[in-house]
Amino acid sequence: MKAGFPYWFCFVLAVAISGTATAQKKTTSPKKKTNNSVYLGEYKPGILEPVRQDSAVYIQERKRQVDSILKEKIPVKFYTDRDDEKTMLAQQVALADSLFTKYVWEKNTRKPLWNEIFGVYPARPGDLRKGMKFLPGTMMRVEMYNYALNLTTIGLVDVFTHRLLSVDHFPQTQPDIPARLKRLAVQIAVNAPEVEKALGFKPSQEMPVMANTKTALNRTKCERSRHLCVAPTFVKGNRALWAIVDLTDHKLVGLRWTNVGKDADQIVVTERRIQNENIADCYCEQVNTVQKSNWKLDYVLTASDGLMVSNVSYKSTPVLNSAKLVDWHVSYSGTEGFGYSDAVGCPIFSQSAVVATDPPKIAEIVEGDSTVGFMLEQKFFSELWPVACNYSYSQRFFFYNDGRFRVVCASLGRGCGNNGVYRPVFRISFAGNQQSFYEWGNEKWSQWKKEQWQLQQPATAYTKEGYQYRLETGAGKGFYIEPGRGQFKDSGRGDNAYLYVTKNHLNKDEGEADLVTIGPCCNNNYQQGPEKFIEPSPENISSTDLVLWYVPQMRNDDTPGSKYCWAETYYEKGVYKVRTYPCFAGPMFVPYDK
Amino acid sequence: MKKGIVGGMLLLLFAGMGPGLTELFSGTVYSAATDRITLGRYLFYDTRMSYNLTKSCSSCHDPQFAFSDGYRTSSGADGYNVKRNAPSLINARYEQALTWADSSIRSFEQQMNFPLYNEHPRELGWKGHESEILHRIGDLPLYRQLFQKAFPGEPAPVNRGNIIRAIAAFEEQLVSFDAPYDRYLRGNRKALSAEAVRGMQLFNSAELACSSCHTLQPTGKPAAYYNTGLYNLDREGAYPEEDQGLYSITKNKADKGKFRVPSLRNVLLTAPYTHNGSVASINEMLSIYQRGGRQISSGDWSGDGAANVNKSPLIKGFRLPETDRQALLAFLTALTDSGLLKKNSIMNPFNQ
Repeated sequence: MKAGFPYWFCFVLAVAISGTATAQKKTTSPKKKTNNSVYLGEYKPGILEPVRQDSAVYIQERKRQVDSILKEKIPVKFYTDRDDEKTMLAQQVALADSLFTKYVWEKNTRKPLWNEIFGVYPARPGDLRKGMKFLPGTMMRVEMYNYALNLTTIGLVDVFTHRLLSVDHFPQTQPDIPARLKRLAVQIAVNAPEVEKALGFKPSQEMPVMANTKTALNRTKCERSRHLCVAPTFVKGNRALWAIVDLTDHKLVGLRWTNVGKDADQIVVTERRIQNENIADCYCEQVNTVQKSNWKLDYVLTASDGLMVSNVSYKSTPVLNSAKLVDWHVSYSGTEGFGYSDAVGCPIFSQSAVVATDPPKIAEIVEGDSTVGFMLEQKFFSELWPVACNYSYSQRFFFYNDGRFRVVCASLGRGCGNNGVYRPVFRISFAGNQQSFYEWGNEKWSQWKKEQWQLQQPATAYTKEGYQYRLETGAGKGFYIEPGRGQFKDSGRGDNAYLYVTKNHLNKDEGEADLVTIGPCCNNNYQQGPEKFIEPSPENISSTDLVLWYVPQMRNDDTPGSKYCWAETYYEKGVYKVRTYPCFAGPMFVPYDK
Repeated sequence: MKKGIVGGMLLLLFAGMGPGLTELFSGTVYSAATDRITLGRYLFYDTRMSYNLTKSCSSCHDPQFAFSDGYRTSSGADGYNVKRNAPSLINARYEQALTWADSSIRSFEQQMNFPLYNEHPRELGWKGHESEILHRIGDLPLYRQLFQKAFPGEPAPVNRGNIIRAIAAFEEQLVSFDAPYDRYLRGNRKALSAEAVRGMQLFNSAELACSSCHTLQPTGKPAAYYNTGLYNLDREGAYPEEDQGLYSITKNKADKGKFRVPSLRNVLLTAPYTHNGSVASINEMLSIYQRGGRQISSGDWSGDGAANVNKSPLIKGFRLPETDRQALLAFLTALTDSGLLKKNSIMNPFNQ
């Protein structure tokens, strides 16, 4: 099978490679940059002094390992967290294929680039493409990260036939971080003298949270996640210290404090087991079906794209190929650009800190005395929520008897600062191939001819019913799209959403399969990830297969009387309880048939 | 020293010149002034300016938010939040008083003492670290060169006073008079849509009375302070204890809850709004004015701000049908000077 190859990759890769070449030239120059270089944002002695950092045994060991691997025939570090036969075989088969290793060497000089396999997993339902034939349990997914190009390569391997069945390369993306790199990040953070000085004591290895969640920091190489960076975070009283660790350069690049709110009691109320056998056996990558209220659909708890519904039909008419929650971008500083870029999913496959601990739930939607539809909900938790720097999310799909449906998610706090902005990234793929997209403005509908994006703003125009967009699925029929503006009576205060429309391709993967993290944590603009499937050459989107990407923006608030995206514990009758202030967001789709 | 004074006088001279100042600075005639602005720009964006290297002026005054920061209240170098929302610096040079509620602060130089030396919480954390920070900056060849050019002839130009003067020089030239609204005023009738023109009429109307407080051009008049009915904790006009506004300076009970009228230049970029950033969106702000004050129905700060005894009589509520609201929003959008906010000359020099 021909490997999928995104068209936009060529441009980005060309830029990336030219950048790499330039960097290499610079290192050979006799004029070395001093520690006083104005191009680096972090100046503290120690942070920029590689010698002291490198005296640490774990860094020396890591660098030795890198040097040694770069001298090997295939300069790729294997994934060894699990060493079962299938895991090793899948890597060997993948690495034997030139399509998989296409970017392992620099294009012109053939110099080896530093690559590492971050994970090997059983293939997921979303990975499988039409025409793929294999025996049950033989398909494996291999995720490799290229540090030099900041690129993820995903290969699907049939370990029975020893064949690589597909390859996709995703520039400017990063896969889930393996446990060994999390340990390395924690080691770098807890042993950094800067961290000890800021906290006033040397922290233990157990103290940091969110150590495997990707982050960024402006004016460092972590800016916009150009390097692989994470932020082991230390909660101290009402504050959290972020130790931003660059795992490409193996060093601490910055420290930042956030305020986690006045009532940040370290009281754990929930005792959820991260590893829940029931979820693992029945829902993780297991397709279930529900048929209710004129709707029929499959749902599956994915590894890193939240709860996904697929093959959704209403009165036997196909409506959606799939809808899922690709990423959560949580920014704590737009000006300095740090926060978390995370995904939610199934605990047994995911390295995420926020995972499903309960199975999906189906509930009826009751209005007055009538059942008007049903809701499918999946909740995700950090283990210690609602303690500061722990998270809880809810993902919901509402299906109404009359054909309406709504794709929703919420943050229930508490998070790692009281100046946070949550940006979940939805991917919604419509069924059929005769779709066109329209936007309301100047009292009429205007068609989008090319792939593009739009931001819902205060001055955005809506129809009198509150519709901003219209998706035509055939002659005279389709769906109006009604963004959240606080009208859904779920405490949501408005979506402020970026919406992107892209063409769905059958011959290449633009997010149909389980996606790695596609966007950095903290961009304040449209660059949340989906633009990668639009730029640099937007395609025609008239009468074709369309995918909507929807990125609401919810700003948390711990102000008395207006708490939002927040959670707190309170004392009542001898016990502690949790009070939540969820921020729901997501669009309603309203069918029309003229 | 003498040259320093002359330089200061030169800036004061510029300060009175009004719109068009940025063009003046683009020439070479005023090279000392431009060098000072250049230095100020580097310092403005440099985290070396904070004691623990985590914050700079731009942490709270970021060009992407029209030199505000998008937060309810900004956080200082130690992560603790300050009391008030960071106001935009665009056209701040024309304000007769700076800060939200202290009419005695009339220049950037005065104002800068707060972020440098405040301790509760620390913002940049200069107190007790001044010498360390000055050495840190003075040790860099880049800054030695920039200071020498900005303050020629001074034997030891890297000092607190010059740092403040240079940053003030940078802030002085953050001037915006090229929004669609300005172009409309200059005769370009196409600069505003029909809807925005209708919004402008509403803005200036007696019923909405927005322009009674929010002047869009420099007037030279003293700063105005109003209680807009955001809180009414005790039904006697109390605002949250942590911030009573002008009252904290005057101790006059009638000044409880009074805060300076903010600029509406680039207002769509400067959310959240009000002195404590407690109004998340422009639509929420309009709804509060529409109602004649804010009703908070739960929590420690519940109460009906519309009934606040100290509330300005100008905040009386009004009808605002959806079409009028959209028109008003179209006009407020037309106050955005996107050209200025993309100019390389005011952006972070470390990124260029």
